[in-house]
Amino acid sequence: MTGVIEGGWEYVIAAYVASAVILLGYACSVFWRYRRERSRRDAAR
Amino acid sequence: MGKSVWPFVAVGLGLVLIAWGSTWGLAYAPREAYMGDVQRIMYVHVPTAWNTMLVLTFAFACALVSLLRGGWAWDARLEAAIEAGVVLSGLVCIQGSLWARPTWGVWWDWDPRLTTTAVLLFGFGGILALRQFVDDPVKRAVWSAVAVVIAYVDVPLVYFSVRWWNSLHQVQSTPETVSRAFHWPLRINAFGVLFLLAGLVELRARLAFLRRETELAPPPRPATEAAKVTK
Repeated sequence: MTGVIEGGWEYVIAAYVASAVILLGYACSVFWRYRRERSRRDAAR
Repeated sequence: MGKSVWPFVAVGLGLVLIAWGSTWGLAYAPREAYMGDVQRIMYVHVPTAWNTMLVLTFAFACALVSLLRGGWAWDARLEAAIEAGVVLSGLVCIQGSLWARPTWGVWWDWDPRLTTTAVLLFGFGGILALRQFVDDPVKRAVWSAVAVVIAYVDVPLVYFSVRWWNSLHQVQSTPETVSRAFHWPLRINAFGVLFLLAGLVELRARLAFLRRETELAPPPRPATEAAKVTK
């Protein structure tokens, strides 16, 4: 045992994919809800 | 609230910076001596953790201003900051678990840093749920602002937990303890998440403000009453 971690790319990829999915998903959710609320407000006027 | 395009620009800039910093961290930054390639998780985990604390501090400031001065704009900003804080807290726990498994041998451990972070996630998630259950907008604004002030006590606990208690999690790194080769991808991603967050919080606050306007608008007059008025 050297104490050095070998490999582990699957964890690295999983962390980056999870970050991309959650951040992009949240961004899309905010855009979509904002557009929907603006359309609803404009329709009510 | 404002109608300028700066939040869209900030989101776009944030995404470009995150793509740049992540590519640098994954492909060009050197391997760390002991953790090897697994250390590359740092370039997304640490910026997420920093910005989680920042957005929850912003939520705390919004709660104080909302309680002291009132105003629907501050309540809208409060709602936006809590929601973004919950999303980032959840993400930081996922990234941390993915880093913990190859380095500590476990996905999760109830050590002080991880436990206080979990409290953060469930505490602010609970406040978000509370806002859904309260129909009266005035009570909702006051109750959630008070709850945020109380829940914010956990943020300094998260930060200092690694210094105050015996924690598996390492203490905060400083520019002196991190190799210069690791600085740039970390900083680029930190600013990327910051810009993304700033844009999304502003858009989410505008959304909350629009909903509040609809909620507080007087109900439409019944047809018979409207006819009486016109006579």
